[in-house]
Amino acid sequence: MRSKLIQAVRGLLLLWGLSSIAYAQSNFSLNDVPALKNKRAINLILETGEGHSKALPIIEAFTKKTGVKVNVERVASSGVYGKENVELMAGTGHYDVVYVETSWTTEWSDQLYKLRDLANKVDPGKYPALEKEMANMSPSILATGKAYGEQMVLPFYTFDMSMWVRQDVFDDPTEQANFKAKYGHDLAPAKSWKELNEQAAFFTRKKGEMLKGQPLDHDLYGLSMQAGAYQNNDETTARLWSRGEDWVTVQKDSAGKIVKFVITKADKAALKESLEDYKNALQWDSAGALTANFDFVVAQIGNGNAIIAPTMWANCTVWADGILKEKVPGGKIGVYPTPGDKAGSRPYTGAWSYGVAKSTKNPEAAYWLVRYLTSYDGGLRMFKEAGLIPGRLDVMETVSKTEPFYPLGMLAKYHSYIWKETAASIPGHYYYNTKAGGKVYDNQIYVLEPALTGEKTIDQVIDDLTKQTIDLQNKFDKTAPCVEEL
Amino acid sequence: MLSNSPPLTWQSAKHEARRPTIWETLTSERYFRWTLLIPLLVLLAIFMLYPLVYSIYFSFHDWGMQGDPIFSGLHNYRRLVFDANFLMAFWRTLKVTFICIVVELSFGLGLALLWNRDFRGQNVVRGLALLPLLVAPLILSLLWNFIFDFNFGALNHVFQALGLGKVNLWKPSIALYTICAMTVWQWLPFSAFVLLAGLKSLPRDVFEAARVDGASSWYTFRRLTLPMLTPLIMIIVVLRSMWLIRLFDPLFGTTRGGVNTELLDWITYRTSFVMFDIGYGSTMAVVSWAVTMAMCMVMFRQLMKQMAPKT
Amino acid sequence: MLKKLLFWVVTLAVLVIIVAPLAWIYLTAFKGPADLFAADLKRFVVFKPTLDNFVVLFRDYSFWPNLLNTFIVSVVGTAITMIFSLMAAYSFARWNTGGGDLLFATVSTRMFPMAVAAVPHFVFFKTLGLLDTHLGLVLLYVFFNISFATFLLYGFFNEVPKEVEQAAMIDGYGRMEVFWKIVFPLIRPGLAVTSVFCLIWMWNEFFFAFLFTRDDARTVNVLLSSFWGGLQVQYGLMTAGAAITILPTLVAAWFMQRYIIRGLTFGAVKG
Repeated sequence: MRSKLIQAVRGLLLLWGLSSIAYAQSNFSLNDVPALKNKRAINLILETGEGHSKALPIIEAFTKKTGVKVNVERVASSGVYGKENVELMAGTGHYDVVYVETSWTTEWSDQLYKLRDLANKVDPGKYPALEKEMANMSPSILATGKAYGEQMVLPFYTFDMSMWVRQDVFDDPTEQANFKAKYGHDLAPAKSWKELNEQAAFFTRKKGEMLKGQPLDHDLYGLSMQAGAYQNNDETTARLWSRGEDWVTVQKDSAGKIVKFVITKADKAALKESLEDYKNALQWDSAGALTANFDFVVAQIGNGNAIIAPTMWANCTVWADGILKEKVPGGKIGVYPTPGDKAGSRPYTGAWSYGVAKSTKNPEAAYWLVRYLTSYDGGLRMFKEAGLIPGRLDVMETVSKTEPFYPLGMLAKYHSYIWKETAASIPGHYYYNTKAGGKVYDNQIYVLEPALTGEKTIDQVIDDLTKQTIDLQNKFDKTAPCVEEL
Repeated sequence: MLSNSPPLTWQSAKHEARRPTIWETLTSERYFRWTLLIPLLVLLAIFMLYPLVYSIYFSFHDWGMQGDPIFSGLHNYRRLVFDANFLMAFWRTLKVTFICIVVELSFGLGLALLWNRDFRGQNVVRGLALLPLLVAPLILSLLWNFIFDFNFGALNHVFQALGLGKVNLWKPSIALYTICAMTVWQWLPFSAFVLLAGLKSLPRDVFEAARVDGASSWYTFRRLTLPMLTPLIMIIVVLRSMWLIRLFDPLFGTTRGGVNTELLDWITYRTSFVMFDIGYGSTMAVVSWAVTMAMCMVMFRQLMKQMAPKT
Repeated sequence: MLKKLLFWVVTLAVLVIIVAPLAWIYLTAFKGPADLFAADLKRFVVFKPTLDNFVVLFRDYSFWPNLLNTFIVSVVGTAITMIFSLMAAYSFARWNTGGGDLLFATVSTRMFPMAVAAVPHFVFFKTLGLLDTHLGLVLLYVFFNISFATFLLYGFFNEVPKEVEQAAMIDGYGRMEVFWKIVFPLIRPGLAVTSVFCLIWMWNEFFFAFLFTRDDARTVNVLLSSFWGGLQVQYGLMTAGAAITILPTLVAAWFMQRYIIRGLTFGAVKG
């Protein structure tokens, strides 16, 4: 009996060992880049920010190995679309490697190489080699980088939304006792929007009231949200998708081809509910939320002014923690899935990725630079040094094993979980299936804002949004018609 | 040059009868005025006509910069007429223009009158007063976004230190006035200095005479100073109106067109450069331009009457 | 006595309103990342100053090359603008060329929403190979400022009475000599005002510099703006850069205001 047990354990260990080796075997390193004949310099955009600067040594290592110079242009994320779009559409061929945000993938798919074609052209292992590498990447993230079923870009860093809670506050016995006494159930990271509202109300306190047994020297808000004309649509998406609906329903035939885009009654009803909930939640947030972008949420949480950020970018965690460490003794952030509804937790997800422009004069160098930037080595570096989260399962695996739980291990665990959770639903979402993605996405932000500030009623705003979306969708995407279900 | 040429004689007439060189034509009495305009007109033709024609062309099409433009006739224009967002933006722009010009002129004149004297440290004071004009507009908008922030802004810190409550300057009901305040803050020195320069060049003797005659300072101001400054005031009004109708920079780092502050140039920019709906954006641009032209033409004619060349 | 007190109260109040917000730039330039978002007034003003922002700015970013680009483009652009607009303004002022309509057309060029003009210009520049060049940016800037400069100079020229010129012509001066020896000195202060405004505009321009340059001709404002947005807004680096970038324009403006206030403005021949 004992020998059988030992055998079983050995067997399990072997299996576990093999699975780790399975990841390690696909590790692609600089040594795997073949000698490049074409030494023509290539251009790309690297986002601004201290964290992104950690990618510069990666790029330098590439230049050292291949002899191809890389001109790096630093551009703020809000300016990338305009800058690259003008160059791509004017056909200047300036950017060899193109920095792509998820919702632009399908839109620019005509200007980018299908990675299958490019790999077959320049990779000695052809497309199967690339596929092997992609097996180590998050399937849900990869799906956001596809256009009409073809992989167009590889993820550089991801922007999954998550819920931040002040873990130290949630773990505090006084707060737990008070919460249970008031609401009848335990204080735990909210799994539903209703629970979230309870906690938000509970934690909104005035100066002088108590927190964790100590009197507050400033006003405290239950929530911190980005309701400004920057991310308000993403915060709405988390609420909308969690109800099982979308901005636009994509109807495909049995072969997977898109037949129609429909803004269904269910979509509109769910949107109405989401906006009402969102607007209602603002009462537990500072007045500054209406013009807030993510940097203010980071500041609110970091300075201890708010307890929960329900729909916040997980890749800002390390940044916020840096401030929290200095400003609030004992403060810790817990990263959890965003609250869910019928469909569970469905945070907005996507990645900033790199692809290769068809107009490039050095496709080989461009391809290999993209491979190296999105490789295990590159991703691990970015995660450990900058807290930016690559779209790679193997990196999450390594980090959760080798790094301390707080904060990196926690982030790795969260992403591995949420990618698995949402993998099935991603390919059906509207954003990832439309050529008008970039335009519709940006337009939403401005149309939604008056609903949150109260300038227009929610019904009016939904009406406006429907009209605008149909107009933009039909104007810029001729794959299938877009209609409203009446 | 021609005025220095020798008088005609029978012999020299044979020489003068040849066709003048290009240089001589260009600098002749009749054409010199046009010669002077050549660089300006060339630049305008290339840089102004081309985008204008391009925009008018695209206003009749649908184009997202990908693929070919699709002809859509007057669709864009019809859509614009019923576009509540555009009309709101237009109305807001008019409000902002009016408020800013009135405030800038009145305070500017006040400052100019105040500082139209010699006082200790006058160079330092006047030099510092120019600072708002020197900072890049983008930096300024980020600066004000920060200062006006509800939680972390210096303004609310000051209010709290004084025992007053915090103010949310980005509320939809007052955000537009906040934008006005930012703009006035930046451009007040412009009117102040132009008017100050104007005051400095007013003839002294007229004022002397008025003072000797015992005229009150109010009388002097109303009957002498103001009329003589009118041409300058009108130039300021025309220039500032033009710029204010195109107001864009303060929004860039603050509201970005949210909270009831979307102005004409912002909605045009957003349509063309964020949504890349080039056709509709061009329509907005053409209409904005036409309206601005119409408004300024009226002001301009008034100004020209005042500044008629003293030939 | 009371008048003097009132004068100084108002003057100081005005100065505080004008200068205090800019103090944010200079304070933030010396702050470390944790001090940026201060919870109250005390922590806003009292903090541990650091030179890190400047060090990083100079070392890791092409701050000085970009500042040089700004300098080149602004100075050359202003010089060219002044020459062209001087000529045009004189034509308009002296002969009313085009009967006021041409002047209006010139002024009206600034009435077109410039963001929309960017796309056609971009395509045009690409064809001519002027993208990311100093020449391209200079041409663009000259165009943007020429109408304003012409209009302003037109006003200054108008202040010089025709009689002065006519008297000189009767005395036998040629057209060119009249211009250089008589008229030009009188409008020098106006020239100073206009050129400084042009210089400042070009120095601080952002949108077109952002679109039309990449690396070679990139101006310092594009660099500073790149610290905004994206992950981690780097206020420290941005204000450090801004703190330095303001200085040359401050010097230029200082000289300008001294020059005009010395009373040689708008044609001292009046009265």
